[in-house]
Amino acid sequence: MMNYETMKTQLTGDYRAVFDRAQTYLMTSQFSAQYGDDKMMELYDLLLTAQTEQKPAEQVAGKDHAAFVQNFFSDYQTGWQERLHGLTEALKRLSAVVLVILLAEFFTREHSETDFFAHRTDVSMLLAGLLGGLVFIAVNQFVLRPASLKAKKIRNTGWSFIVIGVFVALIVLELIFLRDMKLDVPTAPLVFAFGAYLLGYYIVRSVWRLKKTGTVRDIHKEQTNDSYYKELRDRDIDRVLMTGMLKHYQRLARKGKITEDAFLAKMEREEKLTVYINRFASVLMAAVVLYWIVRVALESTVAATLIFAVICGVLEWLIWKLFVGSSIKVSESRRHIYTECRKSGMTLPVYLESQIGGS
Amino acid sequence: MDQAQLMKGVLEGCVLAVIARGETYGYEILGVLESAGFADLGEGTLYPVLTRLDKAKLIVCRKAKSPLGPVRKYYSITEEGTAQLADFRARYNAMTQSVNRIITEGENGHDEL
Repeated sequence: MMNYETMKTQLTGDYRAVFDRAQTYLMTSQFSAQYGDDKMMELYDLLLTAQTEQKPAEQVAGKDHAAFVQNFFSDYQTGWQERLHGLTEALKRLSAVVLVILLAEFFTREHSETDFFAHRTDVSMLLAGLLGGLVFIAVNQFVLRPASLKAKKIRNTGWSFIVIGVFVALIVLELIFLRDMKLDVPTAPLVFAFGAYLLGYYIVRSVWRLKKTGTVRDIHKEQTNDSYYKELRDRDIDRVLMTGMLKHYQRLARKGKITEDAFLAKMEREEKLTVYINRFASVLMAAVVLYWIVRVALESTVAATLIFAVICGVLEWLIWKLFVGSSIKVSESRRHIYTECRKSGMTLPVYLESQIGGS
Repeated sequence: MDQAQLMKGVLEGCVLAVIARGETYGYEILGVLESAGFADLGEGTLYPVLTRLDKAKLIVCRKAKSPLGPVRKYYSITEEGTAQLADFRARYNAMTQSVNRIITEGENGHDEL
């Protein structure tokens, strides 16, 4: 999914208000990610062009932004292909989650002598999760979306909290009411069924892409990851970091803990520490996973160890990317800011002010 | 019936006609239609029309970078679209002739009274 927040920083006034309204509408809808990205990209281009050419937002999006947004997204209902695509995507995500849960449950079973084909899994919580998901979709569709359209003030953060709040409330209700439910089913057929679906999904998707675009690569992703969007994202990260740094300096300066000249050196020292922490975290994570794989290898067969290693490797990579990887990226951005500041010959607070003011 | 409603009835054909002039994009189509007198297009009615034409294979969409940087959808007409446009023109001309005849006769009849 694209980062709409970054795109939004390029829009002002009414242009931004329309984009905000569309983003809220998208958030409370069940459109496929690709459809949503596609439409938001189209809207962004429309609004940015109008803004650049100083054409009033009213001329491209009308006076009633809610009506505009509804019309703008109205083609989704007519497209059975999008709906089918959305369904297969949702099933893909569900299959991946179920597979991970089933395999994790099997590998962490109490009686390790139980054969894979004889093993049974309690799927009551999975079914409850599915049911909760359907209720969540219904609440979103019939309550939150109409309410977000009628809302006079648009605050995406507020709507995000409401959506997340409803989701969490449903999970809590599920846990309370379905805690005694138990439904044991054989594990192996489920693993094969969901695994087969995933395999089939990727084969069909590759063939479809090859037929449509001449390549199995994700053209859509490549287009939204080109130099323009990357630069936008980098600029946005820099802006957020610089605002935070300036606030940090102002807090310290108010307490008399830092001088303007010494701030850059202090921040660079802290950055060095962050680099060491990131390296340490990466090594530690790898060591923990290796330890678990060795433990499983000593107690299980080669095949079971391999499956466990693959699952652990994927989970490890995802967690690393989410926490350490993003921290490394942010650290690189900060170091880039310090380098540019040194080149400019200004003190860091003055440099930050000049950059934030100009963005 | 107000003018906006009348024009919406022929919007698809007009969008097709604009695209038939050469490859173009949403914002440009909107400008051409507005300068031709289509009112209230700012309500987002153009975009579902573009999707419908694309799904009906009357136009094709190509994504490329715009001069400002973001990815933009460029539309061009297909052979089916050209045939459909010719059909629309013929039907529209026949319809306007019929409407003109009725309106003119009505005016003349009214004048005679």
